[in-house]
Amino acid sequence: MEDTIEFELPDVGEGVAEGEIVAWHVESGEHVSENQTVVEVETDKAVVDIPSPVDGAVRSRLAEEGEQVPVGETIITFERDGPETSADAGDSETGTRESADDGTVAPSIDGVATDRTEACSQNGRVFARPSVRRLARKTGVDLAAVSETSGLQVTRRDVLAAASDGVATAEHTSVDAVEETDHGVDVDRSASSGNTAAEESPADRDRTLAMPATRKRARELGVPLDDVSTDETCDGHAFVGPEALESFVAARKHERAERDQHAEPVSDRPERRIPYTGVRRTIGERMEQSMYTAPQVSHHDTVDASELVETRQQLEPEAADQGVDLTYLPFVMKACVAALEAYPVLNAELDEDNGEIIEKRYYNLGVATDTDAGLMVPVVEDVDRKNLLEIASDVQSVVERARDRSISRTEMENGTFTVTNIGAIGGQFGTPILNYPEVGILALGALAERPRVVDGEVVPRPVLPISLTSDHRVVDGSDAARFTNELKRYLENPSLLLLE
Amino acid sequence: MTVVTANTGTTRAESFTVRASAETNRAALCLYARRLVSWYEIAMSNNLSRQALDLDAPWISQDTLSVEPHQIVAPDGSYDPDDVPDLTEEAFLDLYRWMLFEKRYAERMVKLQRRGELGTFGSSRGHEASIVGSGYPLQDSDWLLGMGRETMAMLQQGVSLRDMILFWRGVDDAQQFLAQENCMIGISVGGYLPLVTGIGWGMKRMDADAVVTAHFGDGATSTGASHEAINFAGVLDIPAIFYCQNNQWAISTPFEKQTNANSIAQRAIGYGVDGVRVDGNDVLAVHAAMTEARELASQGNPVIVEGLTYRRGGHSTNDDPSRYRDDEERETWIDRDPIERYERFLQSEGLWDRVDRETLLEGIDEEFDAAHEAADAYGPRDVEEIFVHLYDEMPPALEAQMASFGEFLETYPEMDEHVDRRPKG
Repeated sequence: MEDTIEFELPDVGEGVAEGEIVAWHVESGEHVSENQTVVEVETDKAVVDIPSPVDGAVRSRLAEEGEQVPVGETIITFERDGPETSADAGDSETGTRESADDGTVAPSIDGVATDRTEACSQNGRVFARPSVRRLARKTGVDLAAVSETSGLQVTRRDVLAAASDGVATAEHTSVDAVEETDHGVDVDRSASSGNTAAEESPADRDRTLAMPATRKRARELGVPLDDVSTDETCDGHAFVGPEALESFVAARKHERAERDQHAEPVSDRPERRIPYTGVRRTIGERMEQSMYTAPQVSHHDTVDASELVETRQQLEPEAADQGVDLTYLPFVMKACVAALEAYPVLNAELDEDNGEIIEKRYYNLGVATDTDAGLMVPVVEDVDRKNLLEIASDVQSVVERARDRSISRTEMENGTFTVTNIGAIGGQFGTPILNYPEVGILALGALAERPRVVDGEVVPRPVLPISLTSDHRVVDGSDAARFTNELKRYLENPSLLLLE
Repeated sequence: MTVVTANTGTTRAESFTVRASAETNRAALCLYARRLVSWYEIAMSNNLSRQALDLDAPWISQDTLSVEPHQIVAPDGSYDPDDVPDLTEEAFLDLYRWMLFEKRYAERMVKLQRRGELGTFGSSRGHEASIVGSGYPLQDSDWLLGMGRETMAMLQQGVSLRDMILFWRGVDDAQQFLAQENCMIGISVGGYLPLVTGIGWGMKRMDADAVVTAHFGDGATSTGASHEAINFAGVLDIPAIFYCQNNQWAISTPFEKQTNANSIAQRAIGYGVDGVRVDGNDVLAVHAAMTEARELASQGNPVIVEGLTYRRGGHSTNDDPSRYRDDEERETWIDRDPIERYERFLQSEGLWDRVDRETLLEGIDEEFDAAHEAADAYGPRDVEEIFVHLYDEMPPALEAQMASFGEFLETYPEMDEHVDRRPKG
């Protein structure tokens, strides 16, 4: 007797949860011999060759190259070579009931891959695995009745088949239902193949087979495949093809539209699936690299910005005359350079390969910029050699070009320190993540009037909250604090910047 | 600068002998000077040199003792006929079949693991001579406690192949079946070595005509337990053979990061026992060394035998060796294949004509198939076993519990589903 082996992705390395299909080595229908490599799978530990458990034919591949598959999910099905071959398979479509009615044949008891014995009867009692029992309860199948006809072994498949027959009696055994669908070499897509499991399958199944593309589409649409009604089956299980999915979605839309007309509240909880690609992914990967490479520590302080506010007010009209919008940022950048010169360890990079810390004697400051596409960090080069107006105009230029995406990649490289002005949106303190491999990043909070104790009295003062994150491999907490004090000294006495 | 003592720690692929030269030292020093290595690397690297010191005391150092590996058949297959051990033709052919079996077994076990039929498995590819040569001289009454990469040595002691498959399926009964043949596998690295000494002590006290052999890897020699075990064996004159399969990699840690010593064998001196380093890819050399080891041990002289070999695959099915060692090193060792070397020896001896490799492999495959089937047929366990497992004679309280539990399941059959029977495999 021929039988079908559903091969589940095994845990190929003590405790891996999933694997990526790297490359298939076999096609559907191809004959394979036992231990022949059928697929390469990459786990987070290694790339491994997965061999066939049987001599037989590949029935179908159920995962696509590049797909991440959880351990335990069926990735390929085989038809094991039988001692008798094609004669048996020839009349399988008609599914002769007599052949199965001897009542002792279990569909698969070889236990090689997935068809392990799941239940057995002993001394008149049915011993079943918990999963089989639960399934039987759920589908209303009497295990004892099934075991009478399927012999000593009751498998999950017996229960499923009995459930689809609608009756779990001795007359209609589970086995013939299985026989009917077992022998088709490919998916049985005929919509009217009679007594199949699918016809009665309620659109609220436990298990639904589908091609990966369909699964993907369903995910995008936010449709659980188990809800999609279908009349196709594969291997005794409901199969959803692309047409079934689309027509289900169309029907559901229609239904919703009607329901909306009747002003009924929508009861489901819709989700939107956004591809994690492009800029979003780049940001994510760089954050991940930064966070999991450098141990980061943040240091917070507040700056009394009274003089800074005054100075800027004085200079603003002058700058405007030259067509420059003078914000606080250029002052902060200038102050940063002064403090970095005093504490060069913050303007550095850790060269792990060579085991060296590189202190940079040039000052290229990144400006974290909120764009429609996400966070970008354009860089203003040689800040130490520029005056306030030049810095202001450079910032304006790179930020604008970052926002309209006309900025080049090189203008976002070679930063040595980054400033992020999150306070422009709001908030006070933060824990910015390093723009790796830089070792320092400064976040500005919102500059606002806040109570401050001056000469023993609480008075309102414009206060700028600042947060500095540094790479603790290179920068000690004391360095970070001293740097911050120096920065603060400049920002509280902006006239000092004249000396820079 | 004069270099007085030098320990370059020979590269594994290069040579068995320790070479010391000022030049290599300077090169190494320059290399390290250019780099700012982390404390870890500094801590783990070899002492590169000791500057000229005016020393009066009689220091001993790595150079004091030269540890030459015992070898009978050279990697190119050449040998001195006088060195060939006095074995029967059948024994010579037997050794070949066992090595072929070990190789085939490892290949098929890896496949089984990839099919999801084993939990994990450590391939022995490359160790065939070390395993077979070290197991063959043991006697029926001897004990063998290993780490899992010495299957054929255990099969030689009577362990069944089915039970090895069961073991790697995580079926604990397998250990009991192994123990019936005086074999067991200790997964804890080196942790079982004091027990080996204990078993040997028992043998001594009972005046048994047997020795206990421990198989372990180079990584185990870095554990405290191994020192305690071997040292104490020396103190107590225990009939024990400590056979270290030094495959030079403890998972991803190379030998030179395990120890600053030139060999494992030389440690014997420190423990007050006898030691030998043997070319672990030369089955005849391993066999000869183990034969003598057994003689020594059975007279109450515990010994360390270090079989220097190389693990071709990963530590287990769970790691990817290409991530921690380079292909070049592996290639070098592929050229020193223990089976091919022995084939050349059989050809020189005129015994090769009696070998039908294909038929041997067929027979091995059949044996494996049968073991695989038998392992699949090893059924789930009975609820009763919870109660009968521990005691030779069940105490009345447990008997009562068993009876009551049986009644309970009779009364509430649905509770059966809460009993998680160990699945086979």
